[in-house]
Amino acid sequence: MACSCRETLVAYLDGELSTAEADAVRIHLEACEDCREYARLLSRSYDALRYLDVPEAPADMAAGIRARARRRSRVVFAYSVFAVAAALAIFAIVRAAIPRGDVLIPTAVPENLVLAESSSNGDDALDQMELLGDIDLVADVDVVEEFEMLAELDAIMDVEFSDREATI
Amino acid sequence: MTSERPRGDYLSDPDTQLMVRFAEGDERAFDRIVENFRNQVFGIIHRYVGDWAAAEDCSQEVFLRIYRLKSSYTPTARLSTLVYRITTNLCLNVVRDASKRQAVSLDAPHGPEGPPLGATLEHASAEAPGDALEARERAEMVWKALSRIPDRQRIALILHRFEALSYAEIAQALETNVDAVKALLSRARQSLADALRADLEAGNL
Repeated sequence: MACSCRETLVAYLDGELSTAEADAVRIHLEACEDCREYARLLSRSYDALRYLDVPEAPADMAAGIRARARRRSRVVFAYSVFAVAAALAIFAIVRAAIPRGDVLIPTAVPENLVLAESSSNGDDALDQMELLGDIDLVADVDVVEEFEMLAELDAIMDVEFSDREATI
Repeated sequence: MTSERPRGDYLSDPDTQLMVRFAEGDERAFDRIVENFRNQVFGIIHRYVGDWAAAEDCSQEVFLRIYRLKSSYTPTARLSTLVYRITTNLCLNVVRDASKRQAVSLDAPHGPEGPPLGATLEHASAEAPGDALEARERAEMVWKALSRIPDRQRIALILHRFEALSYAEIAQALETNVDAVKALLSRARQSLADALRADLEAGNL
């Protein structure tokens, strides 16, 4: 079972504790064999890092860095020039594609364009269908009235015929 | 105990003065800065990645970033603080991203046909040739244990062990506080001790 002092044991070994904190750890270590053993293990493993000796860095590093800095500056400059050139090209293309006012701008709107626009409107189409329905209704009424007129005519003729028979 | 430097002390720091001179247009001052820090920067990165070529490339990037600060530099701390901060940031970001791209496993070969990461470590050059192989094996054992420690814990441990930075200086480099560094180093040291326990008890180290 690990003691709670292990959280501060490393700081104690590194001399990073206050005097009071360090005294508390020291007193604990005198009494705790496990922690003393663990402190030894911490020290030995830390010391083993010495095997990771590293060779010296390349001596001509400064020259290489300057070369990279110059390369990067050239790349940034090239990108900037390319971006400006691309923007100008796009502007020129768009400018050429837009028709000039004195040549192609129409003075009057074609009539069929207005019809096409109105027919493409959903509300207008619905109104027109309702109008057609109204026309059918009117036509039906006319037919009925014609039948009634014919019937009345027949009735009149019948009356006239019976009157004529009566007089004969 | 941590040794806090008095406020404004960095202005009398020779390296900071070099950076001020470089910002004022003295290109030779930059050469001096590279010369003063190249081994430290290279050493930190090399111990972090375990690869000489990657360490060289990343070290150049550190100094390139310092070079690009030329026109905007205003001293607010010692130059070493800035150098350590850039180095640790690069280690934690660029190197980690590169590792993800290459999907490097610590146990797998480094790259398609390369040697294991630990085997690329140069070490113990002062030892006798007969001991070189043994020293190389020891370096690989230690590297394997170190490389398995989480990134921030590992960089904190490297800064403490090899650069002898105080907890406060490590906190500045990692842009955190001293308590956080205390926790990072405690966990790092415990991980290292647990990883090396068997080899230490067997007398391999």
